[in-house]
Amino acid sequence: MSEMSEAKVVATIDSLFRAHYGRLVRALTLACGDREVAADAVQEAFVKAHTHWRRIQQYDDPVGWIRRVAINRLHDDHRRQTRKSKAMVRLAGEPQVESVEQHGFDSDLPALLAQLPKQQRLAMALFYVDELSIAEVAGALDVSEGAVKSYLHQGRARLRSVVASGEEVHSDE
Amino acid sequence: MSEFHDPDLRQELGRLSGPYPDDNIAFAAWQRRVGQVRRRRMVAWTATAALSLVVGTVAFAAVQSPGRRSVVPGESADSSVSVTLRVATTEVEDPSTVPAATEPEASEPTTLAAETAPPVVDTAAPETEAPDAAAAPSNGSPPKNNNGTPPTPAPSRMTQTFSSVGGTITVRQDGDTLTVIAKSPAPGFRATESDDPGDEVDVVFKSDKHESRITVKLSHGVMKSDTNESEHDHDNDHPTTTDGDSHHGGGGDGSGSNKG
Repeated sequence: MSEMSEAKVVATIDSLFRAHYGRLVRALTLACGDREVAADAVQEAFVKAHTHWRRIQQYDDPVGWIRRVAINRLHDDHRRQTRKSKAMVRLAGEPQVESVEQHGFDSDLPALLAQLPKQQRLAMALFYVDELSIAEVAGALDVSEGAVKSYLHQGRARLRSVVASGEEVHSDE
Repeated sequence: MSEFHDPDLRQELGRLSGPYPDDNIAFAAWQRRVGQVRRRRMVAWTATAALSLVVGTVAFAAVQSPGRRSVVPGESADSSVSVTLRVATTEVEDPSTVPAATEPEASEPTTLAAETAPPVVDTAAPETEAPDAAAAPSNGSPPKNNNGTPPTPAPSRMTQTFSSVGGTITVRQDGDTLTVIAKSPAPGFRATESDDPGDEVDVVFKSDKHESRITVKLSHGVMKSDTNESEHDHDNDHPTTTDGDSHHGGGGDGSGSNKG
């Protein structure tokens, strides 16, 4: 890759980075509960995009590719963490209780969010935080749009009660 | 408006996901990671190229090494290896030839056998004889020595020493030609050579009272000597003739004839 094309690639990725990095990190933070892990996954996805840019730039939605790579990285990290936790439980002989504080949240909403299935949580994060459309969420999760709607309906139904009660509490105050 | 549009939920989830990260810091971190990946790939490429170069060089050297031909001759398709094996076969068939070295460049084994014969003769000194050696006959029945056993085929060039009362001669056989290469008269004797080199040589040692005549001729490719001793006493001249072949004439100790 020559100097000119490399500078052009960096400039292109720079614009994509500034447009999507923050939103994607925030969405994945909500999905996994760890900002560092989310930021690392998104960074890694952008690095891979730079490495394979010749191929990726021909795609209709390069950002969609980056998003899927970041989500897959998050899944891999989650699996690795799960195996590690199970191994620790086996070694210690005590059940490890996943507390709300481990996710860094301090209210009922994060606790409820943590109880949602992983795909449902991701769908909620991508739709409400990354502000993607139903189709984009379906593409990112590699599921149908109907499945995304189902995830959003169930997730919203569970979280809405807390949000509503919280609003009531706030209004009472 | 989508049925999932919920500004309150969006706001709460947005609050939980935290503030927007600093893009400049994040982009600088991304550039560092890209640099690391690029360096890693460069090192991997360099190592792969160096390893390939080393492996290729070693393989080329192994293929080109002459030692490999002798170590694993059966696995080589080189023609020189098969020639070497043929030379070895020739040596077994003709044990009389003592080739000092094989010629891998030669293509015909028979040619090699002929080329290896001359050095054997060249290294033979006049005093080193093969008493029992006899050349194979070209036709007819093979000659037999005094023991009645067929003589061992001898090389075409050899030397033998024959002795008499008047002196000792050394004769070299070169194919069908005999040449006197040394004459050693005994004290009081003088030597006269009667014939030129040919298939028979005749040397006479004379003194005042005695005459020794040694005649060497080829019989079926084998040198045979005929020694004639005679006194110059005119009153009582008793010439004595002794026949001998190469068996008696050899040995290197000069005892080539029966003395009368």
